Amino acid sequence: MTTTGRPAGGLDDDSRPRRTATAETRREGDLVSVRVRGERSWHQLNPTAGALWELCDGATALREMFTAAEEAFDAPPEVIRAEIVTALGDLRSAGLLVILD
Amino acid sequence: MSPPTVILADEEPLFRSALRVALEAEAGCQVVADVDSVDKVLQCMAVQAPDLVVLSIGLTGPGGSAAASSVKAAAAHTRVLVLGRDEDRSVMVAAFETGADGFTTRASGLDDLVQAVASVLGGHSWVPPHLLGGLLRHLIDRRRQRAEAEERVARLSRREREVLVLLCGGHNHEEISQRLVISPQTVRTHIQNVLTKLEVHSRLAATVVAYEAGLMAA
Repeated sequence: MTTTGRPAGGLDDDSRPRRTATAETRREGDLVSVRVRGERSWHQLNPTAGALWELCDGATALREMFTAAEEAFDAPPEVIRAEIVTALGDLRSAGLLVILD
Repeated sequence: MSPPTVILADEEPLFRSALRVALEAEAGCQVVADVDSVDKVLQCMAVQAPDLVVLSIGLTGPGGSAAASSVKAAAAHTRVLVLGRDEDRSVMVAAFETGADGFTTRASGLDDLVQAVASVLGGHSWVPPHLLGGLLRHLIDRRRQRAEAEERVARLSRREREVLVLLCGGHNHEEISQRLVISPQTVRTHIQNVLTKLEVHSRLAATVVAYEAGLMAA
């Protein structure tokens, strides 16, 4: 499985997502919810997005997330990549992530 | 269509009984055996391999997470769900590395356990959602560690690699000298160069780097 190229959503393999300084996290059992500080509502993350959220430290490249997820899950690589890109894209659109190149 | 067959392996009869009831009633499984050791799992499998083995960590026989590899060696198509005693990340990672298809803990609720069984039987992997981030982090860190070790080992000359491999094999100066047909003083020089290039201060640490880099089979 190669991890080159530029996935949809403007992220590429070297992109390093980072939680914004105003992002807040709430954990209740298996559920992870996030919001921008000051917002009233929380965004509840699905399990994959919740796991990715922990990796968004600004030092972990998308390539590393793809590779680890492909190792961990019994699913086609393209499905895994699409799910990751979608999840990170949604978090970025919500103002919770910035993407470092 | 016949129900998926399952072997349960756990040390505690009461837990096995509860799990049997839950899997048969809630997951539509047929539990063909419940046993208290890995050896007994393998004996049952010699008669008929099930679709799934639920294995608790800490069973007697081939220890803990290595049990998954014994099951896979006996029947590659049999799925394996490992039950840990707690949420120990290293145990979970070891379970996956030895062939488990899923991991959860004995502390999980029956509903979660049934969900895990259904997922693994469906051909998917299973990790409790709150452990998923830790698993991915571990896999990333391990890959980084290996890449760094490979980068260091790549600095070595062919001769220095040979010396390192022999060091890893437990050979002393004299033996390395004889094997490579070089003087003991040259061996010492090579070892010093190896330590410098690997940025370590002992032969033991050099051995660790060699294993991390995959220079030696684990």
